[in-house]
Amino acid sequence: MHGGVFDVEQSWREPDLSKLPGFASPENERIVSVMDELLFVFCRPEDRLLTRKAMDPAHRQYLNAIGFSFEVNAFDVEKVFQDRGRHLFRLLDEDPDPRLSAFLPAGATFEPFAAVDELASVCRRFGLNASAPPMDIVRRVNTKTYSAEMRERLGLPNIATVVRSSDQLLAVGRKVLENGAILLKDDFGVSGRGNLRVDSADTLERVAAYVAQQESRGKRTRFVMEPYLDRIGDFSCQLHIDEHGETRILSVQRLANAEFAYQQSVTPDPAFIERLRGERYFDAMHRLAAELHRDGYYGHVCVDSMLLRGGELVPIVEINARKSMSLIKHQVDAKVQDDRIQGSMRYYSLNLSDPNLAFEDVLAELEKRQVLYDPRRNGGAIPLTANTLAINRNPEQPYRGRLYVYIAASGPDQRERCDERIREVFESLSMRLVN
Amino acid sequence: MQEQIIRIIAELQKDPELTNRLNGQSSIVRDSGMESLQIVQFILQVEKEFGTEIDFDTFDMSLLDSVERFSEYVRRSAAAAL
Repeated sequence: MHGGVFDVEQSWREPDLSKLPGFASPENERIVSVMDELLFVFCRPEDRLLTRKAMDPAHRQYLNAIGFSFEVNAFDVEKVFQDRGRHLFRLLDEDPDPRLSAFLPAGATFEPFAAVDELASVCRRFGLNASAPPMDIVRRVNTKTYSAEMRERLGLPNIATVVRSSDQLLAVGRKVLENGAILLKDDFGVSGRGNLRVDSADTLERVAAYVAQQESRGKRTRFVMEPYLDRIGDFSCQLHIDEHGETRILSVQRLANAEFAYQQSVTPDPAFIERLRGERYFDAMHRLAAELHRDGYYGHVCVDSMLLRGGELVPIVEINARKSMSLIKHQVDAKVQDDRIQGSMRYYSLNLSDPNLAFEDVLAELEKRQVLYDPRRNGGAIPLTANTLAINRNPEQPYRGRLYVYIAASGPDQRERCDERIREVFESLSMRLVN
Repeated sequence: MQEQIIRIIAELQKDPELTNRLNGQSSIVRDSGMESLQIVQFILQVEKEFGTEIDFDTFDMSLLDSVERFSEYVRRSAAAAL
C-alpha cells in the first residue's frame, strides 16, 4: 500500500511555535493535497495506491500502457477539499469511506511518503502493517535545528544560529546583516512560511515585531538563522536506512530551485558525481546516516546540499527524513532504464481558462506533437500528475493548475526541444505558463 | 500606485516583461507566477514602499485577485496609518 501527505511538515509542526510571516494560498493547498498521485512511481505490479482524489482514468490508462502497473482507488476519499489540516491519514482515521475496507487489503504493508501521527491508528483500523520510527524521533530529525546540530556533530562547517526569542532574532540578525542578507528558517520549514530572506534592518525589525506579537500571546520561538549564501547550485542525495542501520545511497539529483521552492530535478553528469566522491561527500552521507540511526531514525532520507560560488561544497543544508520529489524522479529513471537517457522532472505552473478541459486532451496534444513518452520512442515527456491540473477547476474564472512532468531526453538539447513542444501544447489548449 | 505594485512584482520575479504583461485587472497570484514565499517578500516590500502595515494573520488573500483591488486596499491602509 502506498499513500501519503506532501505538506507533511504542517502536521509535524509544534502548534505553540511562533511563525514567520506567511500566506497560505488556498489554490496551492488544494494542488498539494492531490500530489499523492505521484506515488504511483513506487508501486510494484501487485501494489495498491490510495489517493485522496481518484486518479484520472485517461492518465491511469496511459501510465499503465507505458509500464507502470498498480491498482488505485476509483473513488474520492474526500469529495470536497476542506483544509490542509485534514490530510489523508486524518480522513482515514476519523471518517473513513466504507469502500476503503475493501480497497485496503488487510495484512498489507503501508509505505507512506512520510510518517505521520495517524499512521499507526490507521494501520490498526484496517489491519495493515507499517514500519516507522516513533513520531517524536521523526519530528526531531526533520527540524532545521537538528540539521544545524548534525553539522556540528559531523565536524562540518556550521553557520547557523538557533534563535529562541524575538529579542535574540533582532540582536543576532543585526550582527549577521552587517555582512549581508539573512536567511531565516522555520524549524519545520512549513510550506508558505518555510524560509524568509531578510536583507534590511527595517525588514528584520518588522519580522521581529511580528514574532514578538505572537510571543505575547504565549507562543515559543525557534528559528534557524544563517547568512544568505551565494549559491551556484543545489543538489540532493537520496538514501535509505534500514531498521538495522544498513544504508544505501539511492541517487543524487541536481536541483533547480526558485526562491527555496522545488522546481526541477536533473540527473547529474558523471563528472559531478566524481567530484562529490573526490570531496568525500558520500562518506559524509554515510556518517550522517549512522548518526540518524543512532538517534532512532530509519527509513528514507533526502539531504539537501549546495555548491557555493567560491567552489565550496556544503554537504548538509537540510535533512528531510522522508521520501522526496527527487526520489520520485529517481524511481522514474529506474523505470525508463536507458543509459542514453538523462532524465529530468519539473513542474509547470499554469493558468487555465477552459473549465471543460479533459486530461485526455492534454495527452492527445502531447501525442500529436510526438512528445508523449512511449518506450518505443526515443525519449519524451511523461505527465506524472493530472489531478493537480484540474483540482481548482472553476467555470466562472481562470484557475491555477500544476503539471508535473518527467522528461526523458538524451541531453540538454533534446530536453529543451521537449520543453518547447510541451509549451506549444499548453498554448494550443489555452493554458498559460506562469513559472 | 498600480504601476508601482506591478514594478515591485517584476523586480521580485526578475522579469521586466511583467511590467508590460500585467495591468490593473491582472491577478497578483495567478498572473505573476509568484508562489507563497515570494508573496511574503512582495508584501514586505509593499509595506516598506508605502509605509503601511499588513496583518499577516488576517490578510484576505482574495485582495490579490487583481492589482487594482490590492492597490486600493494599500491606499486605504496607508491613509489610515497616517
